Order: sequence, then structure tokens, then C-alpha cells
Amino acid sequence: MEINTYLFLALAVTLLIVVLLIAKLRHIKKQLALIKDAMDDIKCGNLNRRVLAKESDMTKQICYDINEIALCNQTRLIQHRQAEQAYKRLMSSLSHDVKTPLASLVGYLEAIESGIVTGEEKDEYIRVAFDKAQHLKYFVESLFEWVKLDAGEQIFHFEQFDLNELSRNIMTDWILILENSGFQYEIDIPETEYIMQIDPNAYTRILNNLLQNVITHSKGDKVVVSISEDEEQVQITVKDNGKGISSDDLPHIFERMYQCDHSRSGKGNGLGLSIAKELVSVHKGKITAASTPGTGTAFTISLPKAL
Amino acid sequence: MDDFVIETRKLTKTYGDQTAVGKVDLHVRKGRIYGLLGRNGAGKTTIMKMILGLTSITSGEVDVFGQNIKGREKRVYPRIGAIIETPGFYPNLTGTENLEIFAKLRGTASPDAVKNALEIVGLPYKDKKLFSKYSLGMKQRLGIANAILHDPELLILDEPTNGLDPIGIAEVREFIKNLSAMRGKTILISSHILSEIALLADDIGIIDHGVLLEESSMEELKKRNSKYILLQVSDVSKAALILERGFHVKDYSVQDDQTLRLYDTSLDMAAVNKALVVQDVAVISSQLCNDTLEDYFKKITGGEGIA
Amino acid sequence: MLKLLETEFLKLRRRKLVWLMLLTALIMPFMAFLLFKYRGDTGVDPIQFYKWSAFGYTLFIILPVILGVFCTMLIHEEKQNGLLKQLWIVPIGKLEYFFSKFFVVLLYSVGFMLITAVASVLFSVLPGYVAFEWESTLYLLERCLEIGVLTAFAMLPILAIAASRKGYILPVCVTLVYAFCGFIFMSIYMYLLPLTSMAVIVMRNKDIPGIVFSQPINITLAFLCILVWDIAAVSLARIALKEK
Repeated sequence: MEINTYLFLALAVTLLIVVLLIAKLRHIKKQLALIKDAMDDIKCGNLNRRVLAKESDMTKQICYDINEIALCNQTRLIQHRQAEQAYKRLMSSLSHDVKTPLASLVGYLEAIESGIVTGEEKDEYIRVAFDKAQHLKYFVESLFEWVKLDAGEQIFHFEQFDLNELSRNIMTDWILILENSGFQYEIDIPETEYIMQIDPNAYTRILNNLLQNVITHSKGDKVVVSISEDEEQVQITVKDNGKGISSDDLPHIFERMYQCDHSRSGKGNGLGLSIAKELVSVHKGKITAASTPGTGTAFTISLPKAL
Repeated sequence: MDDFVIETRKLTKTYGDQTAVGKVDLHVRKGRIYGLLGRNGAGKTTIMKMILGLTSITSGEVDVFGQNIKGREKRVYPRIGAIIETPGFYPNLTGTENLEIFAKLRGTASPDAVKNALEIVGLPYKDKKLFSKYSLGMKQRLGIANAILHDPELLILDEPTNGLDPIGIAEVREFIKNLSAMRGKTILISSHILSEIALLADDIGIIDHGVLLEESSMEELKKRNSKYILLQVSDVSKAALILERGFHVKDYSVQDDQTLRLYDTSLDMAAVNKALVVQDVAVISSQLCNDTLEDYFKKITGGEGIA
Repeated sequence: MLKLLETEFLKLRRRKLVWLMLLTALIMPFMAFLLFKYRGDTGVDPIQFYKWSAFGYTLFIILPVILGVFCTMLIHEEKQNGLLKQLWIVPIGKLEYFFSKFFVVLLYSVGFMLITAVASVLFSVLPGYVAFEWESTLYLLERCLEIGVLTAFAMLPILAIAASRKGYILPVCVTLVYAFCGFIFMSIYMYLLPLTSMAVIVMRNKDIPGIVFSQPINITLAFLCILVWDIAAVSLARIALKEK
């Protein structure tokens, strides 16, 4: 009698366990079917697909790993696609940017050639045509420089330089230009030496582009160039008191061909900042912009001391 | 399976003899942001509810991921994230606890999904604040966090910026854009504010009194609706010269060998045409494109405009 | 399903009213304590005491009403906050949802009766009205569990009504009427309402003094009654939830 009861109990417990195990098995089977479904989908190229797993699922880790792989691939794919799109945009806007000055250049030259204009007016036409040709030349040069940079073909020569002295030399060349463009300037470069690994041509280009940018776009009348350091990096700041950049435009200003002035009225070419950014990143540094519309913009370059 | 993530065919909903939604054909393409624009009560929410199967469909069909959702809920819903109307949560729980409930029910794609989702929408993780103490903006953010908790492929967002302050709206807009650009998500979003849709959407559907008046890509619309004068002439170089010398036009671009775009629409076109003809430039066509998007929507909706 | 149940309990966090309602389980044991104190008896038959503290008003009034209110709270809360839409697209099956709520009610009901049982023993033994003995205590415990489980089943129609209605007024009113009808039908026909059928099952041995049955005891019929009502309730909930 006693034994029978125990046997019965044991049987009941076993049955319960069997039922539970079968339920668990079915659950896992369902999970596997879901995973297979998602895998098929991912295989077909839908990298957005995720497999969801609950805290208690046995397949949890597998699901998480699948998701991570899909996510990684997707990120790469999207980056690739974005680069492609940007390239297409570049090509199409490029054709306008070359065509427009070229068309008007031809117009001027035709007028001169056919003798419609004479005397002083003719000289004026030649001057305008020359300006336009210069502008075009400058644009094509920057473009080539940018393409070279983008393709990684430019070769840099890094040498030990005193950043401060180099900056001072660059600024000396700019003082006259700034004065002629009606800018007040303030230059705050320390007397001490910051010896760093720099490609002097590239660095000059960065500063030139930033200052050119201030003159062409800021519409301000004062520029401040300052250099400071902390333990790990040197910071070069170029600040103006111009109209600033709206927060809608700010994230995009380092993109190639991006122009805040959407009507593309001619000045600038949308490459300067993009080139500066590429060159800074070659120095393993970072360039950032902060701006309050109406009061001015500050560009800050941070270069690591140990390259 | 076409590239449509959501496709509706003659989707109709009637209450009694009143038609809330009439024969709507919606096409949401993969990886794009589709903006559903319409006044309050135009039927946007009803369409979204029908797509999600939250309300019965009077007639017509809805395909999500190329298949009918009915009977496949367990497989399809985990791939969708949605907020419909104002999202509700348990007032006696904190934001994190609320999300954890949904994470438990639905499963997640990664171990720290709750934390990530909160981070994306800018809410603190493990905060002690109860949901009942949340501001409208925070509630809305939590709703979006819940919608993206399981990293779904498709997001259906009904007026997601309702109740947010201007800074919040810009933030939400930014990360919705990011979800599409960086993560390749497909997003269906509704709004009654034209500018919001114009800033966000790749494709747009305009709905009024339950009827889809127009469905087109934003690019197409913008092309049709920016302000400029399209000038077709026999010789662009000459035309450019005349414009520059005679009318001091600087803001123009050359499209191709015959077409110029003038961005200054206040130009006296009669005088321009005359000057061109006098100087032997044949004007093939001159056309003023002066519609803004607002004007355009006014036209489509029969004069009343939207928002 | 287990997950759903787990989250159901997470949802009850910090809801003071729900836990305060459990304290009403102490009312009848305390009243019984007062009554016997007033009488000044000692050495009472434990069943006498338990009849007052656990099987009397608790069974017919307090537990059904509390459970009715609890059902309404559970469902109304989610409805009012617009949570259902979010739950449906998780997705959660409509019946799954309904049953998970029922399990919460079931556990709540059992918990309520356990408190009643423990309180009854404490209030009777500590003041010395009843000498502690295992036999009667176990009997009380077993009956309380029975009441807890059966009442939950008897309240299923209320849960269904709460699930199918928008407001909370109707289900609460129905609860009150339902509990009141229990009294009436006890003497008219016991096998018409689940509540009275439940009482029949609990008192099947006629071992609780002072309660007189006007009709013959028929356990099968009582179970059948509960079963029929519950099937009707589940179908109602199913139809009502599907509509949304």
C-alpha cells in the first residue's frame, strides 16, 4: 500500500517532467523555425531583419549574435551606399559649377572677339573674363586636390616642426589680405615651441582654407586666431564675428559641395572646409565648428601632440 | 515581393454610411521615410490602425512585407514598431520598468536593448521618476523608445512630435532621419504640419477627407515647386553675358547648352526677353516656377491648405 | 504565457490600493474575535469560530466584491491608459491576455483566503478562545484554499464584463448585484449562479453548523453550473476583445 502510493507519486512526477520537457522542446523548435525564417530573409539581403529573443530563451545568445552580424554588415553597406550617393551628387553639382562660369566666360570672350565692345569697356570685359578664368582655375585645382585626397593618393611629408612658428609665418602672409578685405585681426600664438610632426604644406592649406572661408562667407569684420595646448593636444581656433551658421547647416558644412547659400550664387566652391577636414584627419586630428547665428563661428582644430 | 514594405489596395473604412477612409492606395518603399500629410481627422490614424490590424477593414487589402498580416501576427508584428495616437504606459512604473515589461513580452535583439532605446530618445536609464510624473514630451519620447526597442524594420509613427517643444521636435526629427539614413529603416510617419513632413520625408502622401489626393517623392515635388525662372535660349554664353552686364544677375546657373536657371524671380522678364532678342539670342521659352509647397498643397486640397 | 503572467505582477508594483484591499481579509476574523470577546466564551468549537471568521460574510460578500473590484481595476487601468493597442501589436493573443488576467485574479483570491485563514487561527488561538489543534487548522486551510480557487472561477463572468466594457461602473455594479443575488438564490435555487454553486461545493459535507440548505446537495450540478457560466464568460470576452 505504502509502496504503491510512492510509485504512483513517482509516476505522476515523471509524467509532469515529460510534459514539461515536451513543452520546452516545442518552444525551442518554434524558436529555431523563427531563426531560420530570419536567416533566410537576411540571406536574401534584408539586413534589417532581427531575431528577437527573451531573457530565458536557450537560443538567446545565438539570436543576439545573428543580430550583431546583420547589423555590422548593414552599417557597412549603408556607408558604402552613402559614399556612392555623395559621389553622384558631387558629379551632378560639379557639372553645374563648371558650366556656369564657363558659359559666362565664353560670353565675355565672344563679345570681345567679335568687337562689340571697345576701349575702356573692352578692358573691363577682359578683366571680368580673367577673374572668371581664375575662379575656374582655382575651383578645378581644389577639386583635383580634393579628389586626390579622397582617393588617398596625396603623399605627405611629416617632419618635426614648431607649430607656433609655422603658424606665425602663415599669418604674416595673411595680414595684408585681411586688412585689404576690411577685417580686424587678433593673433594669439604663444612664444613657446610646440614641436610636432606636421606636413607643413598640408597645415598651411588648412589654415588658408579656414581664413579664406572667413573672408568669403562670414560677412564679419574681425577674426581671432589663437593656439593653446593641454596635455594631449594642441588646439588651433579660428573665430569670426560674422553672421554664423544655422543649426540646420552646421552638421553638413564639412561635406563636400555643401553650401549654406543654396542658390549657389558663385562665391566659394564648397570644397575648402571639406579639404581642411581631410587634411586634419591626416594629422590624426579633429576639426569642429561651433556657431551662434548672428554672433559668429569658431572653428577648432585639435591635433594630437604625439602623432 | 516588390520593394514595397507597405502596400494598400483600395483600403476603405466606413462607419455606418460615413466614409472615414476611401479607396486609399498607399505605397511605402523600403528604406524610405513616407510622410502621410493631412489635417486632423483626415483619416491618417485610421489608415495606420488598419495597416496594423488594430481596427477592422471595411474593404480593400493591406500587405505588410509583401503579405497579408492577418493570421501571421506572431511573425509580422515583431518586425514592426509603432506608436498610434498618444502612447499609453503604466503610470505606477518608471520609464525603464515600462520598457522592461515590453522587452520581456516581445523579446529583444540585443542584451541591452532597453538602455539603448532610452539613449536614442534621450531619456535617462534606471531613472526613479514614475511615468505619471512625466511631461507630455517625455511620454512621447518613451513611446518612440518602445517603438524602437526591438530594432524593427518598419516604424509606424502617428504624429510622433505631438506635444514636444521646438527643440524636442528638432531632436526627434534628427533621430528619425538617422534611423532611416544610418539604419536603413522604413518609416511611415503622419503629421498635420507641412514643414515637418517637408523636412523629413522622402515620399509623401497627401490625404484629405479620407482620400489620398497625391502620392509622390519629395524630390519630385521640390523640383516642381522651387522658385526660379527657367530660361531656354539658343546661346547660353551670350545670354549669360547679357544678364550679367545688362541686368546685374549673378544668381543663376547653367543647366545645359540651352537652359539657364535664374534664382531671382523678381526680374523683369519682359525686359530680359527683349534684350535677349535684340542682341540676337533666340528665347525658346521662359517660364516662371513660383509655386511654394504651401501653394501647391493649397491647390491640391482645394484651397483650404494644410495646417 | 509564463512571461505574460510575470509581467502582470510587475505591473502591480507600487499600486497601494491593490495591496490595501488584501487587508479587508482581516475584517471578518477580527469581527469574530470581537463577537466571542463580547460573549466571553472560552473553549469554543473551532469550527464555530471559523464559520464566523472565514465561511460567513467573507465567502458571500467580501471576497466576491473585492475580487470584482480587483478584476475591474486590472482591466480598466490598461484600457484607460491606451495600453491595449500597444499590447496587441506585441503581439499578445486576446485569449492569452484574458487568461493571464484570470490567473492574477486566481492568485489574488487564494492569497486573500490564506490571509483570512492565518488571521482566523491567530484571532482564535491567541486570545485563548480555541485551543490550537492541527486537525481543525488544516481543515480551515484546506477549505480556505477551496474557496479561493472556486470564487475566482465564479468571478470569471465579472472579468469578462469588465473586459468587454469601456467604463468601470457597470462591472462594479454587476459585482454588487451578483453578490446580493447570491443570498437570494441560496434559498431559491442554488444551482443557477456560480457563487451559490461554489458555496454548495465548499459546504458539501454539511459540516458547518448553522447553515441550512433548502435543497439537496448535488456537487456535479454545482460544478456544471460554474462550468457553463465560465464558458459563456470566456466566449463573451473573446468576442468583445476581437472586436477592438
